[in-house]
Amino acid sequence: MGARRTTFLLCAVLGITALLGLLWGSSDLTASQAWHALLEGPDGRGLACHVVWNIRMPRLLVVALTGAALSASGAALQALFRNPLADPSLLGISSGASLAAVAWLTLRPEQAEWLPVAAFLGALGEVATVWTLAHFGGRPNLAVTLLTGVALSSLCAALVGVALLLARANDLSRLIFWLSGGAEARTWEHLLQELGPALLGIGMLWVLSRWLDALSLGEEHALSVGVPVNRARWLALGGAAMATGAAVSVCGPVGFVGLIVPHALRGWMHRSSARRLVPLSALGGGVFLVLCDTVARIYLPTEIQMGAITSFLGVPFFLWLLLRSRRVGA
Amino acid sequence: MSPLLEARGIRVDVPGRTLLHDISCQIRGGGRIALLGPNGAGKSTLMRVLSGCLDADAGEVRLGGSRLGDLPRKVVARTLAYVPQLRPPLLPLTVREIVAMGRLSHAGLFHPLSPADRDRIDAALERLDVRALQERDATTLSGGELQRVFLARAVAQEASLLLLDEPLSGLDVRHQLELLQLFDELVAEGRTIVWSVHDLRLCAEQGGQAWLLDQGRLTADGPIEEVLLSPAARQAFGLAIARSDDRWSFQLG
Repeated sequence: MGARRTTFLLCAVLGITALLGLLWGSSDLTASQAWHALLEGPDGRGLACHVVWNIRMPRLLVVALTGAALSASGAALQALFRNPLADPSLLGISSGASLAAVAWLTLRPEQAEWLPVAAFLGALGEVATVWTLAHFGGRPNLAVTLLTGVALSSLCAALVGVALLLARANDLSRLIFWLSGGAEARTWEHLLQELGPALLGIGMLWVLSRWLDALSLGEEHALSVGVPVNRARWLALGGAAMATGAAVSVCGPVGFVGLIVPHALRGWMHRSSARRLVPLSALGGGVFLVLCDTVARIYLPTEIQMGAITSFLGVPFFLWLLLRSRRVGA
Repeated sequence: MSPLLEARGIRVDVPGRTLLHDISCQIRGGGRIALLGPNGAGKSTLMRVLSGCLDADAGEVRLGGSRLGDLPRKVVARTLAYVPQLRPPLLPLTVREIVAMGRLSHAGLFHPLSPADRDRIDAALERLDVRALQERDATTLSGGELQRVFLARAVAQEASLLLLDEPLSGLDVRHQLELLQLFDELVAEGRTIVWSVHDLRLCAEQGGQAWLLDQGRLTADGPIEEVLLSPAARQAFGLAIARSDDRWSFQLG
């Protein structure tokens, strides 16, 4: 299917899902009350307006933005690493962001407004380490890159564990809840905190997409067509780290979104140029995560975190991709 | 006038081995140069150094009088197009998307392709006989088809110097002959082609200049006939090479 029709379809699904998410929820509000509150606008009075405009709306927007940031990062990283299995969580970028964020929340709980910066630096540090280690001693292959990401991800997880041990008792439950990846009780402040770096990161990746396409063919092809390879890599890693860091700083590490959405879109459109895939993945990621959050919020007996749902979907999807690549390789 | 491309004292080392020893060579505008040598002689390594994809451990490469490493890649790409040895893409880009990359150094990151860029892409697709494949996913192409796609990308780039690493590999006989014809056209347009090739007979029939590499050393250069009939060629290939009545013979020993 063409990019234009896919965009239209994704916008329509996002609109419908967002509306459902705003009208239905776990509070006793009926859909009709929520609809009227929605029409009344953010300045309306009463519980319904408060629920719709101050609880559901910021949560919805935070979730959509998080999905967009993670998916666009995944699409870009897959081109950059020449690896269809690359994803912010598989490469450990989310873990790097989480570690930095947990460390910041533990050491400086009173300065939470700097959390996205800490998460961005953590993400950038992690991805730069993966990149350097994977290139150490020669040309990296796909397995080395992924395994380096997995190893560093484990290290970050262990360090997060240490940080939790050192955390004060009253910060502990907040940290654990944040680490499981969710959007409960996210407010307009959270949205504002995430908005700038997430949009900047996605925008950078979109602007760089022609370079990313050339890089997906390999370094020599990219150099030959005039791509300043090192600058392109660092800018793309910076963009992905910024978008992922922003997402993780607000919603915690939500895994596999960056893997599932670009792959689904590739399969849907039968093509994968980053120029199309990065913006469409941003849109698709928003749709996907809003759906996951809506399911987590409304349809499950106890409200579980959307990060758990993406992992429930992502792990089998990842295994299926691995099996498929083995079959193709054979 | 400074040469189009010049290499001086190039040395490339890998742990335990020197791949290129003190190579100096010049490319003046126009014509074609065949890069000859047995497997492992260093042809691809030299191509990579000349294209700026690999930094030499000693020596320097100059493009139009300036150090290659000091020039922005975009400027290099407008003068020099390099097609490395064939490696299939891992992500499903279409043929047209790959050929369009040839215009990246002209259009830039922030500018969409102009109608003139699109015309050049169409012309390159046509010249390499891949226009019918333009919407195909490049991961599903055969080796020969893919080779033509990358060559079309280099043609779309409109660089005056083309460095082509084994451009005939994977091509069927018809496409090999068509490619050689295209080389003639490109040379007639004033472009310079440096190509590495294993088919000595085919290469000899084409004429032009040749460089001979043997164990990382440039052991002969000049008109292709002279190079092939030189003792250095016999030494490099371990073949007795002779010509009589425009027929070339290659025999072991």
